[in-house]
Amino acid sequence: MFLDAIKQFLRYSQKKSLWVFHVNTGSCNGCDIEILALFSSKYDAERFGIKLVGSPKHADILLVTGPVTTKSRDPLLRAYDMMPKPKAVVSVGVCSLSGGVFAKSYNVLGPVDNFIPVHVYIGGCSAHPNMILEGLLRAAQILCEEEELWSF
Amino acid sequence: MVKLIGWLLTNLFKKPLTFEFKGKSLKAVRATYRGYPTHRGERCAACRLCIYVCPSDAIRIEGSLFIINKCKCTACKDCADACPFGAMQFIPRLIGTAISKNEYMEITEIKLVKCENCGEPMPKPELLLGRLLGKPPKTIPPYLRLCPKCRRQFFNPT
Amino acid sequence: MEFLKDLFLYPGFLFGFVLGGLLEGFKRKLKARMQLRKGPPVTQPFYDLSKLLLKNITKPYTISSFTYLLIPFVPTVGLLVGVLLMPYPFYQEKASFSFDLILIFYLTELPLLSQIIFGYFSKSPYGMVGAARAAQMFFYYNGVFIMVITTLCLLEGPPYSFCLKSIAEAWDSLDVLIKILTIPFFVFSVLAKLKLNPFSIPDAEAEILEGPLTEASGVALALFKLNYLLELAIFGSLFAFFYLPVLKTSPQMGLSLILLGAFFLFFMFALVENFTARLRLSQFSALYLKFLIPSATLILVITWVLKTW
Repeated sequence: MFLDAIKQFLRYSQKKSLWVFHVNTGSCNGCDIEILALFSSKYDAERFGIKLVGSPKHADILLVTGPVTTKSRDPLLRAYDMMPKPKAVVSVGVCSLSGGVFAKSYNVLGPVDNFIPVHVYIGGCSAHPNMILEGLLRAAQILCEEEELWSF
Repeated sequence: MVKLIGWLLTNLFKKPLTFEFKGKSLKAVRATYRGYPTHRGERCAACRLCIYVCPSDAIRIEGSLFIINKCKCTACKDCADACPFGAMQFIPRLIGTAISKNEYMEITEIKLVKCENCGEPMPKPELLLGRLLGKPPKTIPPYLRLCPKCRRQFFNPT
Repeated sequence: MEFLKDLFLYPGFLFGFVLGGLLEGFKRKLKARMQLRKGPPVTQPFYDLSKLLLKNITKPYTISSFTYLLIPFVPTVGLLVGVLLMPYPFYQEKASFSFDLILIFYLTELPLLSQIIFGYFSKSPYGMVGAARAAQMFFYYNGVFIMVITTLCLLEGPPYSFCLKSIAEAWDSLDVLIKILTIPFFVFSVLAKLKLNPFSIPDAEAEILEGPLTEASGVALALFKLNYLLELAIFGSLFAFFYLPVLKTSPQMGLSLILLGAFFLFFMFALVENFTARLRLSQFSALYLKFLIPSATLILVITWVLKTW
């Protein structure tokens, strides 16, 4: 009973504090700039406890921009494996959803969800910061409520 | 530096610039925002020019269904420029978030009329005439309500 | 029983943790408001910490899980003892410690040492770079901090015992003047100790990943964050003991003065963090060697001359 209440509180705090690790797997930097705009005064993401961290070992959410190229596939998979559970993946921008303008290029292997499970998709070329914020909050909801992610 | 400190201290008493965000996204974007293509079925002649010009293969026509794959669309506006009938329209709105990719398929129906003789689907004659004359037509001659095959029969009944 | 109460409730764990968390949240909120943002809630550090408790641990396979958790745990114990060594009101009358400032100084160095050891131990290149930078910085700012401590202990009279209580009770007009002169040096060395913005060289705000803590995850990271919060509480209240008449008034007044001093210190930190950019390591060492250490020494000599005559 008491333990359950503590566990509920810990899960709730997972929802309130999201640490995001950002991986660029070969995008054109458009979405990266929008992600930086997310932390500026207008779209202030820090008020929801969202913070960019440098190490995948600290992160709860992997934010992927860009199509997966031959060179960036291994770093992406390694960063995903390094993240402690529970974790969620958010793919930002048209390129990471389907390849976008880079699709069928000689070095592009395909969209992100061919390699790792993606929980929330955010479309747009480039994605609007407001929608990135909405997607991150949606991922927080998933992280808090999905039982599958908590079994380890 | 002293000026900067002064700004920082006065900022403490100002209202923050941050947009309100209550569970949902903010609805209004500026009118200059390009947005995403919307297909208008009643103006479409199914000429497939948009499929030809689209650089990222985002448009597909299956039967009478016109499918825009927003996973692929990069909002380059080529389709709207190429469309002779103005069926592709850019509305300033945001593309949403989704849990599955199927939510990004935007499916609309192309409203084709039927040939009065054989029932074959064909584009609206008003559209073609309007394109030809440069203004909306007042009257439509009856042979234009037929499909090309029937029209040939209409003129040379053999 | 009484000791356990001290250790876990009032001057110990709970007080230090809550004060440190509120200070950190207050600093983040102020920083955001100065940039015209809304900023996270003041309770944000507690959410961060409690989230980390439930997370899985992904550790490098070259390090055993016992060492992985022991390295951050040792400074936690050290800092708890450090909190107990402060003459907090309602506690200093019954405490049997001698409130030794030197001991507090050593104990507050433990978290940084543990981070350096962790950085080298984890064999991550980023961790090693961060640890090397932290180890170099360690040398410079502690010079200034020792000068400040020594200057303050000269105020208390001939048996110079580095007792925090007697420093806090030294409150003549000359003492006040010297105390005010040492404030900038204290602020600079504490900024470097807490790795705040102009001196955030070891972790560089996610530019060399996370510096020494790159490989920390789960409970180990939570312990490191807890250490950081306890450090904030210690330095906040140390500022109040040094520069505010805490022990001269009634205990209730003294406690509120401690909180006031700590929050004022972090208000200054938020301001400094906003209008400065990060220095390079060479600029940092030049600033300390050419400017701060000589002038801190000068103040020490002046104080010594004034006090012994």
